[in-house]
Amino acid sequence: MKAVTPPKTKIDDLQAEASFAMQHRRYKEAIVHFKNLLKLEHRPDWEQGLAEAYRQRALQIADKGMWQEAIILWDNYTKLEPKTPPSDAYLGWLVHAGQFPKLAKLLAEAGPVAEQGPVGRKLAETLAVLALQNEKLLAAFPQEHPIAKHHSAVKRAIKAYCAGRDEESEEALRQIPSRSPYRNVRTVLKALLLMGSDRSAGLEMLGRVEEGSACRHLAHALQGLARATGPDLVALSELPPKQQAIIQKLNGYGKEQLNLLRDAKKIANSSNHRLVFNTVLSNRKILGESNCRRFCLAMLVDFPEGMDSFQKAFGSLSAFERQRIRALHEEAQGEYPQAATHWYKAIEELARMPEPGRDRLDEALILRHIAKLAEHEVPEIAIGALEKSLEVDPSDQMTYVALIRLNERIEEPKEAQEWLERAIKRFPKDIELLTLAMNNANRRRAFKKAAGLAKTLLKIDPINSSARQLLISAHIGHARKQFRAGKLDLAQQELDQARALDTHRRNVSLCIFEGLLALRKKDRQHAAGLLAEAWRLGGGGLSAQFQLNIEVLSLDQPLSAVAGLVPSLDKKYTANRVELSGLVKLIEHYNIGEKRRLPDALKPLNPILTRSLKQPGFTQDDFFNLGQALVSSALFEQLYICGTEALRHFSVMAAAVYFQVYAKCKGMANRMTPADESRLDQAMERAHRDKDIRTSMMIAKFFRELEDPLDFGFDEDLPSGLDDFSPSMTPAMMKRMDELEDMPRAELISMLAKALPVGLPLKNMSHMELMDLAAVMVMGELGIDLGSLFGGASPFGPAKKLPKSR
Amino acid sequence: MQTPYEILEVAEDASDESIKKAYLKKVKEYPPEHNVEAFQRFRNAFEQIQNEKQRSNHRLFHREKVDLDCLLRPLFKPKDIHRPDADLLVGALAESALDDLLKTKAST
Repeated sequence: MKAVTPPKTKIDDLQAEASFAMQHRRYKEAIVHFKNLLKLEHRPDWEQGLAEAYRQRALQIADKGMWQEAIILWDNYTKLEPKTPPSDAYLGWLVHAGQFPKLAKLLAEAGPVAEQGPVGRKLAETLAVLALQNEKLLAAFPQEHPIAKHHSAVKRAIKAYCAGRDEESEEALRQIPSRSPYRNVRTVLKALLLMGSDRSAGLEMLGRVEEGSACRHLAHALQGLARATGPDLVALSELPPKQQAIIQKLNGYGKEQLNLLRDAKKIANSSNHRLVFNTVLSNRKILGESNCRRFCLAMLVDFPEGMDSFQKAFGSLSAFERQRIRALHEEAQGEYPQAATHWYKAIEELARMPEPGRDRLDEALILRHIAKLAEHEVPEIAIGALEKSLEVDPSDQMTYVALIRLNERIEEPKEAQEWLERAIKRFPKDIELLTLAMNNANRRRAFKKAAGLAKTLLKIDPINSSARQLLISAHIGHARKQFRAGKLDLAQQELDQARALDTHRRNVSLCIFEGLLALRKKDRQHAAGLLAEAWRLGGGGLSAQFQLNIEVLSLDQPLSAVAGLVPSLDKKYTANRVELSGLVKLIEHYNIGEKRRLPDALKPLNPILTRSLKQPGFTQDDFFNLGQALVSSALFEQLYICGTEALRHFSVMAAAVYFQVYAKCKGMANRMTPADESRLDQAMERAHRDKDIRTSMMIAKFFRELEDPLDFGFDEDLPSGLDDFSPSMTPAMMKRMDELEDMPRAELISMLAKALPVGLPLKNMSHMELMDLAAVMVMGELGIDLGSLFGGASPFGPAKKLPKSR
Repeated sequence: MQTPYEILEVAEDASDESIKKAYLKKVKEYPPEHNVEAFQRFRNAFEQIQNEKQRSNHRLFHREKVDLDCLLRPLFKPKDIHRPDADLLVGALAESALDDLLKTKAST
């Protein structure tokens, strides 16, 4: 410190400057000011100030790692305040500065009390261990101090152990008491002695080294030695030099192993594949050929650049194997198209290999693997690959299922249907396929076929509930026809067959129907009982009422027919979420067979629906599901209610805007006003922003109808050049198509067969295909010149007016 | 990292029957109610190679884990414990003690 000659100022000025310096943590200046003050006069408060300045300055520069300087300042402080005990910070500075003799002197002077606390105990142990290496430290301790007292016994024990004189070592260790600062050294030595004969006992002994002990680092390192699986090499390679050296010595590692350990340190946790690969390869002599080969082969997926080096070291890889590795590499990078390219090349290589039997299965598996890679992004490629796989291995049931589902997903129902039929032929008793076929037939309204499949399913799997339900529905469907035709006995027979399948009496429709049949047979009491049972089964609320309504209407009966036979809903009744969900399911169910009855069945329930939807507790999903069901059933009144109430709850719900607009336009995009279009546009933007894909797709599809009025959702490959089709024809076309949509399949086929030339395989066509034909014929009805449409004479002959449906 | 064959201790050309037998033997030795982890390991291994298709799937598409520690560790597995010299042992003890103290002080 540079001596500063005190300016000739008054004492007060110096005091003020010293005080200012202390307040602003400028302790170096403060020291100078206080010293100058003390030169003028020796005052206790100035001495205290100087002491404090020294103390603070010491702490300040210790923070910068200037240990020696900090120690000097602290010593100056303690000279002025001699009663101050050594602080932890000061002791730490002594350690950092390597001033162990001073440390030892301090600890010795402090006495046993200082060693009671954890810091003192640790220091005592540290000094004890350091004294083993540097006996000069012992001079700081009186003879009776444990560090000095037990020192020679410990040294003897160590010497004897290292010389292989185990008994002598054990004898020396017995002289070290359990509270000695050498206690953990004793434990380590005992463990080393045990490990010679019993590794696990040695490991257990090492576990007794105290967690806060100065010996714990070495104890942990030694534990790795004792493990049956060997040491953690990364940890081993990161040990400080002497601890690493002792582990190596204890293990008897040779030069090669030491080199490998050095290399292991370089490559442990390295993301440099080249470095790891080459290091392992260069150490293959010591690692073993087969282990090294296996490791490097596994690495090639991450590091295909190593292939040449690999082949040089271990021999050639087949062309197939090289492509396989590259394919896996691309997959790991997420580059699926490139992966598929390599897989296809791998298949080509397979074809050249001399084991045809095995190749075919591998080829099929690779093709299925390619399909898995492609199915989300490019399902068409997946389909192609799966189809090819069946050419080489037709025995895989899951591939058929995948083909059916993929074709359904990309809206190729004809293809899906074909694969389903092929699959059933191959696996006639497969439950999954039969269930798929049954549901598919049901969706296509091929109810007889669906029922037949259901019966087959029940033979194989008698408790198959979906087959059972379908069969029950089929019998009910037939019973309806018989009832409407006045053939009550036949209707009863069908219901009896349905009842035989529903012995637990869970089917609400069946119960209602039985009640209505009893009513028709004038057995009012029995009817009341059955209808009451149905009401209870249906939950007694909104869903139950709806289902009762639609079942009554489906039999061409008025709703008043059941008045008084079932409880009616209270005027203030409100449905909860569960009931609403049940209603949605029922609407979807009856949309298939009884679409025409839906509006009349729901209309009386509008007040309840409105009141219910006003209640809190419904989620956006609840409104969405209801809205979707109402859209697909063309229930515009209820849809408008749904949209309106949804917006009341969720003012920014894009789907709710769509429901309102859709309902207002009765599903016809060209009826939108500019204001509607603008609202819907904004709703679509909102849906995009919220990543609400399903809503934005719904709205986009509706807008597309505006551009293309012929987009009824049927086959998109309709002929182009429909210039004759004016927008004013759309409502008529829509109405006509609605009528035909509801028509039973047999009736539709019969109608088209009359209108179309003989030879068209109408019975083999899907419902979608029949509707496509119907659409073209309806266009003819509306006056479109089908001949010019098809660039010549219409292949269907001159258009004839189709008879109206019932 | 062991292959399913190594876990079940069967050859790579073992038949469906041999593989199943080996698996059941393991399950008997390590019943699930006593050793869930081991059982799960054997179960997973069996599912990967229980029939020809599974074995082919495994052979074609399985990515073996790159495990450096697994590769190196057996080489450093201790056999006999050798005796160090006293200076080395004392030096290692001192190093451990200083290391610990300096780390402790740095953290306070």
